[in-house]
Amino acid sequence: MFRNRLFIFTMFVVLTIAASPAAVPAHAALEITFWHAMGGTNGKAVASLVDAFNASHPDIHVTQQLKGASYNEELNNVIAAMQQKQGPNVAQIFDLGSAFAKDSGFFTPVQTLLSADQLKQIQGDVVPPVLSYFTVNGTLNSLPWNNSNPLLYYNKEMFTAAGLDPAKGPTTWQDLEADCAKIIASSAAPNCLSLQIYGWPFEQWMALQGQEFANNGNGRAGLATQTNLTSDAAKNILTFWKDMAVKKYWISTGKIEDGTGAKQIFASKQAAMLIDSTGSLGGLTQNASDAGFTLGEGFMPANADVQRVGVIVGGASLWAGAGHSDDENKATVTFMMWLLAPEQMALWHQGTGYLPITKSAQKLLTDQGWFTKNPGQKVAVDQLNAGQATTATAGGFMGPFPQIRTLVDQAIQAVTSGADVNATLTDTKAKADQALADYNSRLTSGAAGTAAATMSATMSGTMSTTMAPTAAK
Amino acid sequence: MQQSAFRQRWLPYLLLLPMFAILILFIYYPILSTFRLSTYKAAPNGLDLTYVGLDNYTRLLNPKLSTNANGQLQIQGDYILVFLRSVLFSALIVGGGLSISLGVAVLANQKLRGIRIYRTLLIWPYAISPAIIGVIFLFMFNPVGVVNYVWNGIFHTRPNWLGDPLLTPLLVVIASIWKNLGYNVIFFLAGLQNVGTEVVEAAAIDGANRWLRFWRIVFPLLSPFTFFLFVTNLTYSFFDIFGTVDVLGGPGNDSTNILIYNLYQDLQTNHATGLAAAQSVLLFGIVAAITILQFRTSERRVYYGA
Repeated sequence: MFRNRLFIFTMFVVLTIAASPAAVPAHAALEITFWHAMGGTNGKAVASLVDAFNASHPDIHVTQQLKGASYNEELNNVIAAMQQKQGPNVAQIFDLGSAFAKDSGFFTPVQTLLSADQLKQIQGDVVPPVLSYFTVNGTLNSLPWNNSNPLLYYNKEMFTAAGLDPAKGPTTWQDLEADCAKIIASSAAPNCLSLQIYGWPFEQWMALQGQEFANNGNGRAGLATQTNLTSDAAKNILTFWKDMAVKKYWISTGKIEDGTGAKQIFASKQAAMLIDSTGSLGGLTQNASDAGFTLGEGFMPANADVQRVGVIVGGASLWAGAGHSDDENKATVTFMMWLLAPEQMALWHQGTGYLPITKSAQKLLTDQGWFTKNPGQKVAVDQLNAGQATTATAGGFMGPFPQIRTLVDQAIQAVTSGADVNATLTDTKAKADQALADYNSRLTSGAAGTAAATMSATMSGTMSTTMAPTAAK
Repeated sequence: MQQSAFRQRWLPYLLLLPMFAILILFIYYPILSTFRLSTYKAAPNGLDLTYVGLDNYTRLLNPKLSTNANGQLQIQGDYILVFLRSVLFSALIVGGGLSISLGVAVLANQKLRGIRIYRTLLIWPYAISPAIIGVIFLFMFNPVGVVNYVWNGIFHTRPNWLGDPLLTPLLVVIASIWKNLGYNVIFFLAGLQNVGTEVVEAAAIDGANRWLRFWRIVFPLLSPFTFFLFVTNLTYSFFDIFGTVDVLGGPGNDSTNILIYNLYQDLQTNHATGLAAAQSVLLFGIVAAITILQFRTSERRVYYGA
């Protein structure tokens, strides 16, 4: 009987049915999804945080997914999913994408999901410059999470060789140029300042001079329609940059937005100083120890002729997807509040190098003696806390910001290749304002997209991707 | 009447059905949708479409002033430049690439010791993706990198390879030619070995020198391969070098901005879906036109008789 084919088949079916309850998860936890762009070391930190959350909250299960190699790629994946109404509960959107995210209708402002107590807690705990970036017209649209500042990194041995004090870096442009003169004259380093051709430090220097990037309260009181790229502050910045280029104090790879290249130049001892994000601190410390020099950190140098106001935070924030059930939204809020709790924020800072953006986390880290062991991180936090929260330091809020930043990249490249500062800025302002006008004209209020339109949008994305096979070859 | 290979009349259609289903769903329907989408202006989130007719096309093709809804003047002239630049890149990559590959294939066709090793080394770069080729060149041509180290030793100058508006496109072209060298060499080698030695020997007996033997005998017999490689390299130079352009040039670099890259920027960075769809249609038309033109003019001269 046991060799009978029918018997074997029947036993197979019976055993499968008997085993199937074991395949069903024992708990009926509420599933929420979290999409982000954190790869590498940061990705591991995310994974360990999410695992800890799931372990401590048995009624909620968060699934985190790395949805792109870059912030922009992840944003486009989020958009595509949202167009199909299959978006995540929590999406990490980069700073420049904030205006787009707010205008898109894909997200529910976080403030509407928080209770009054939770909102008060956040507003009391998160450091004001960070809070102001993600608050528009009094509404907190998204939860600040992984944020950074610009920092001046320098090679202490090269400073000593040039006769400069290795304990601190220059805090003004004028001091920076003077230091560079000494460094080049004494041949302490082949080049002085490594800085990528990027609009980001330009924006920082606008804020440090208290200059708003765009009109209408930097795009926060109403839609931005004009940029302030022909302001005195902007002219000061490009004049300074051009001067650095002419005197050969500044070096870059020549390629636009080449942050990796700029870091390489500094890490391979081809330059004495580097301006980069606080997020690079961990990596650069490692590079410095590999290359055999001591890393120094200082505030971002600013224009001594203008009262120093503050830097703009960068990084990303967490947005709550629209169109989910109340239960899912409650779970989303629980997850977000948990991430912002001091223990988690401190762990996140230690694992990634992003700033501890809450006062409670900073206190926890101080009590642990973290900043004594990591003075570089202390500099970053000091700069964050020293900044005033104004509309200028809140940062520009513009839908086509990524496009506008690229235009500023080109302006910097033109000016450092010899073009006239005023003419270049006038031209750049015209193009930037046109980008704003185009974006604003395409925003419709409440016009419903048809199902066919949604299909077309996704299909056209497929069409363009089919026509452009990328790295697959 | 010709005997069909299939007994049932409906069987061939049934067997073709899956392929056609995929073609229609993933190629033809998106193409038609893109045509339709290009006549709309989309909100940045990709939804909320407004019909604008041929407005996207006039914006792209008309290098003049236009007014937007606020009555403000807009200047659109960049697309024509991008088109000319793409044509130049393609001409260099196809013309330069095929010439160099033919020369290399002729050299690799000799009976030397270790020729197989040389052939493998020549063909190898083909396996690398265009983006990685870009990264390799990015490292080599860094201002403080190895190429400048040697260049400075000889010429006492450090060119700005990655920032100069003439040098960076040159790098992209060289990198693209180098990547496709392997592919072209394989086909040319096959073609050269396909040419019978009797024909060449007969020409030698008749008194033709090496130059004549190559250009009057071998090259015409290679024409099917040359024609095929022309078309594939054309597609490569318009579409596949995207990765190299992105790595070596990047988003802000106008000097390396080609049609496919401009389209990508408008779709994925500027979120202008309707405009990107219009560019998609134009690019499709341009490459189709060039390919048809090539078929019309050159196919008559292709000698398939070898």
